[in-house]
Amino acid sequence: MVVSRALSVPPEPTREKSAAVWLTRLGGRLWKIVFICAAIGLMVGPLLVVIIASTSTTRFSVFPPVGFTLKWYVVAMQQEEVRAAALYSLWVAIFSSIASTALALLLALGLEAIDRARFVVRRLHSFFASGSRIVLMLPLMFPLIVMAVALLDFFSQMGWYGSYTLLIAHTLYALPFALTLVEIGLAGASDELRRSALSLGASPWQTIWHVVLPAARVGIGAALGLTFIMSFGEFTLALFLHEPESVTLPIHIYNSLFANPLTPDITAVSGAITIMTVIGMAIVLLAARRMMDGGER
Amino acid sequence: MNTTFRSAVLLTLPVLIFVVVLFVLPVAMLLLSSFGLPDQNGDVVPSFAAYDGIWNARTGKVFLTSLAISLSVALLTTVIGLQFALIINKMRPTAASLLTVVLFLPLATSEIVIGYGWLIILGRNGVVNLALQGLGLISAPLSLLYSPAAVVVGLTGLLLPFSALPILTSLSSIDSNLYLAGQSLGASRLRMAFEITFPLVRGAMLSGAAVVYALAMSAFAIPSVLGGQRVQTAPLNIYINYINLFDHASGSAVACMLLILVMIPILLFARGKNLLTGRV
Repeated sequence: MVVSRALSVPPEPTREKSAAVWLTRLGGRLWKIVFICAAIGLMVGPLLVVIIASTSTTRFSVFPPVGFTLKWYVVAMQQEEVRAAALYSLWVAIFSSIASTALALLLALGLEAIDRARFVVRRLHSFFASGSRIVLMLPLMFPLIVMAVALLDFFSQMGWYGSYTLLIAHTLYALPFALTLVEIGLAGASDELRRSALSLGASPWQTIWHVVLPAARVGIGAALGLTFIMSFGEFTLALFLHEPESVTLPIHIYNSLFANPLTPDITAVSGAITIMTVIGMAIVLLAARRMMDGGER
Repeated sequence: MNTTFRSAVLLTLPVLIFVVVLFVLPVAMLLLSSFGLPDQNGDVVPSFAAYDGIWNARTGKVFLTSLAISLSVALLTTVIGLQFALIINKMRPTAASLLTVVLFLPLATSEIVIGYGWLIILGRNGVVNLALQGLGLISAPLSLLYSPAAVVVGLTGLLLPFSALPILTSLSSIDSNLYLAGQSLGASRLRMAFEITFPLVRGAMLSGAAVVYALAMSAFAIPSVLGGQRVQTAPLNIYINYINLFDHASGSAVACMLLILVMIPILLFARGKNLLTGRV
């Protein structure tokens, strides 16, 4: 009787914790904090170090920094090469982000329409939809170095030279990412909204222009922001496809590493790129979060 | 064919043509060019000469270096990523979403800037050497840079999100009733970890590892900044062949071999998965 009751009723948890239990709890919590800090340090430590070291007054960038100054940012901006590289980076990033987002928008609208027509043209639909998705997502997994080499060979065989080759490469590179964000944005334009516009006599194009696009504007904005950041900091494609006389900021940093490493003006350039990226990414993440919330409501 | 479908094709076709002409075609031409060399008349004849040129101990060593670095990075990111995701998954929602934001940062920052940061940290007068000297563990600064280990550290930090994010997604989608059921059936915490959690996150771990391996194999900036001339990986070898030696034949042969080595695990384990979220 006593034995069976002891088996069926779980023992009461003791109120007073013994010192051993308390210590293991503390150890476990301490281990978690140390682990999280180490992992975060591994990921964003280099970025923090670049920003902090760029304020050091020494002639070579060191961490921890000595003193505090912002003069290296001014020094960097006064250099002709840095200004030219910054302008070139901006030019490529602005136009490739617009191009890849526009292409992604066309695609997303098209893929959506294919989806809606799937009952009419079933076999063609599955062929077209799955085929185009594979082609579109290819650059996502594809080794950038192989893509860079393939484009370099292709452009030189075609006799295409000039800064627009890098523009094309960055548009291709950013397209899958833009497509993902634009598709999430378009999902926010609900079917009811669309159907009511159509039933009120709007043409399909009017519906897209006045109903779908305004509803998807956060997604489009997020895609523009992300592709801009990606292009601005991209290195491998730029290294293979840049013209000798015009370099992007990442290539300028790379070239300086061989001549005179860790000079403070280059650290300032790296710091400026980092700060820009963090701000841009914050905007993109806020937009993405707003879209996710809107989609669930 | 109805109008919806026609307009859909009209919308997608230009983009598909753009991608096929400027991406699929160049890659196909690269693959083909590695199997043919122009003869005296300039006609391209099929041959494996480009592959004969790279079939030597030097290129073999390059690929072994790449494989060793990428496999260790994939292993490290999976172990750290799993532990990271397990801790975040148990946290309060605000803290967890703050840490998830941190996971997105290295995805967008320039590789070259991250490499630059590691140069400051690991250099002879870097903070690691200063700390070790301050503790009295070493008397002279160690040369931590320009070694395979430095490349592994840099790539692990850069690629950790690609492993942690999919694992976190699949962890948070586990039905908590499973644990209640396990508990009521008298399973220990260890047994629940092995029989509930592990089978459900195994897919995310594998596909994350495959993606990390692929990105580490084809990484260029971090290995060339942190490895210097001493650690030659396959992408560095391609660069040297193309830009320094003007040997496009060997370069394209190495690129094709790299492509095969990268795509096999991706096609096996990461097929049809969204890269960032791990969702199918």
